[in-house]
Amino acid sequence: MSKFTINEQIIKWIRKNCDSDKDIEEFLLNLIYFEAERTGQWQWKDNYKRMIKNHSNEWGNKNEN
Amino acid sequence: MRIDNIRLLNYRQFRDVEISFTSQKKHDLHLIIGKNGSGKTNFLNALNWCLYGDEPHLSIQSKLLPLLNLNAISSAEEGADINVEVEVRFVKEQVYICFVRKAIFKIFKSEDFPVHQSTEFEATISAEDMNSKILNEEEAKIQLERFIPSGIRDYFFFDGERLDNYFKEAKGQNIRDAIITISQIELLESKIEPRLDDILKELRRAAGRMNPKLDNTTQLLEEAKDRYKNLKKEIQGCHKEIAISKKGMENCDRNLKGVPDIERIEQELHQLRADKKHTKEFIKEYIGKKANILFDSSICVQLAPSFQYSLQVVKEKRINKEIPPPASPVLLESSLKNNQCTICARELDSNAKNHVEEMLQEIKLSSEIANQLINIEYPLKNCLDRLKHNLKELHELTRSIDSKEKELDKIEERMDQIEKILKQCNVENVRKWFEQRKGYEEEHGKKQRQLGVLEERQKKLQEKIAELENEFNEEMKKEVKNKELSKQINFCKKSLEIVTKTKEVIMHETKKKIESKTKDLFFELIWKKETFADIEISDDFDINLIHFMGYSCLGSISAAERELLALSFTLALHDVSGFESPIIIDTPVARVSDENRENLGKVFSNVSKDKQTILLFTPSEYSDDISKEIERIRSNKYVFNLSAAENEVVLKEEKYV
Repeated sequence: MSKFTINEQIIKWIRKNCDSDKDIEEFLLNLIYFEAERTGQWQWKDNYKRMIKNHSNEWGNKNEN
Repeated sequence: MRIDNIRLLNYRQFRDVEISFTSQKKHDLHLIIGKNGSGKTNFLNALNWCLYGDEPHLSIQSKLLPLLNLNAISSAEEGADINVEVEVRFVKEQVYICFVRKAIFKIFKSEDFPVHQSTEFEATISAEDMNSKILNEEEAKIQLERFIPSGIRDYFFFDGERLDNYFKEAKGQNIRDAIITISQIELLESKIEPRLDDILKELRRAAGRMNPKLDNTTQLLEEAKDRYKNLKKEIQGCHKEIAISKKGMENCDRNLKGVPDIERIEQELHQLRADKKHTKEFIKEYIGKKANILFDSSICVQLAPSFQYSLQVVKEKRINKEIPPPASPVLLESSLKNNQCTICARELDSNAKNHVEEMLQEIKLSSEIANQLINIEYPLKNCLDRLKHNLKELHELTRSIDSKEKELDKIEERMDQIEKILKQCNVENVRKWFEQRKGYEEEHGKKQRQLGVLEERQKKLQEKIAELENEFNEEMKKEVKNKELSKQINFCKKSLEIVTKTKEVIMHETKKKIESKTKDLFFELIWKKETFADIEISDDFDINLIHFMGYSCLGSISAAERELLALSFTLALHDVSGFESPIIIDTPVARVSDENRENLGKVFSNVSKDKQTILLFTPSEYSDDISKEIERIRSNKYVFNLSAAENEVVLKEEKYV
């Protein structure tokens, strides 16, 4: 599934609900595309952990500031 | 997305038939006309077979026949492989998606039926400016589920005969599931949400391993969350059960509309039978009493005139002072014997003697009669009094018997009425419906009570989870060493909250849109605009129609109105959730009365402006009422005829004149 097939409603509401939290917004949108493009993949846990680690690192720094 | 072309090869009575649906007018409306048994319903089955691998509308006759065309079997050589192939080609903006299902059979003359070898399903995507892309079975299924999900295909491929059942079953869950798939909420609900939850658990466990207090809180939190998850499932199940029992009650109400309450009537009949027996016994007893009295009084009745005459004589004698006698005959006889008055002792002279002798003679006669008359007076009076009393009693008995006989007539009349009512309706079915309704009602009440308890427990558990999460967060703040882990946990938790919130908002928004769109379409298309006030769609995606008097009336509307509601709901579903598929309806006016056919004709004309609509009629269904609306706007019109041997469809296209 390519990126343009993601329901716009999902993108719209994820953005809205993130309430300008760009790190989480970016993380969730990446996650959505990741899941849409790689249906049935079994190594999801490692990818999730990696993505959380990357995005939370910055998010944490901003939060601290 | 519209159907551009369908090819049926060796499928049942279709040897090799190709049907194109080209939209030439502003209405994308196509017709297939065929007598019963000519293959219309199997055309619908062919579509289902090609896309989903089953034939949900198969008749009993067809079930007895092989999938492979009979002529193909008879003309095949021994051991030959013959294909059944159905190809459905969709088109959207110059992009074609062609779904093909192919079943291979081997022919052995010794076998009654061809032997199934294998079945293949695939799809090809093609366009003028791109190379064709072949999708394997799994990919083809995913592609198909995107625009005609199998769970709700009944909303695309209608069967008019079964349209009455459209809202009978609680299909809300199917619709909910389909919307989740179509709008890709599935990604959030069954992928991202549980996976983030899983990771969050893992991160918390990792934190717990470093701090025993955190470990304890994590364990409690996980337990509480598991309980919450189970509780949520239980609540969902409860909602589903409530919806099913509600639908069940509506179905029973629809069946029982205008039907008498058999249980109550039978109770009444039972009571009437007892009353009849009792009344008959009463009448019998009173008639016996009457007979006894008549027997007792019969002699009195016959002699009553003589008795009355005798008493009259006694009365007259008394008036004349003939009775009782004026002097005692003993005294008179003694006076004569002694020649001296016994009373005053005076000697009797000849005159006195004569007078006493005359008196004695007179008294002698009167005395006998007088004594007799005195003796019979009381018994006669008594007899006549008793007769009078008996006559009064007889009169009262007769009146009571008359009254009871009238009661008996009324009882028998009501029993006749009830027996007529019972004869007119199918008692067994009615009793079954009443029992079913009672069962559904009890189940509905039970589940509502259960839901109340579960929701209360859910609320308390939510509070407990929030408390434990706070506790966990507070403890995590103290963990300076694990700052990175703490950040990851918070990040994951917040992301999860956003995903859940997004999912809920989209579901709610979709439901509201479908509700509003269904309402708009229904009130635009319905001819009785004042009768209905509103359309509601429950959280479980079940539809409800509200009468202008305020009550729910889905169970009591006509077949035509139900068909219209189904169409409006389907169109709304298509519109809001992005289903772009055509609508195909077999025998669309099967249960619709003549006066509403014209209205439905207008509705189909309206619907086909925005959506490809394929209607399958018998020639008699395609009556003037409907054809005058449809004929001028339709695109293709095909007629299914059977070959001379009646085992193969011969297709003929009728051009619009």
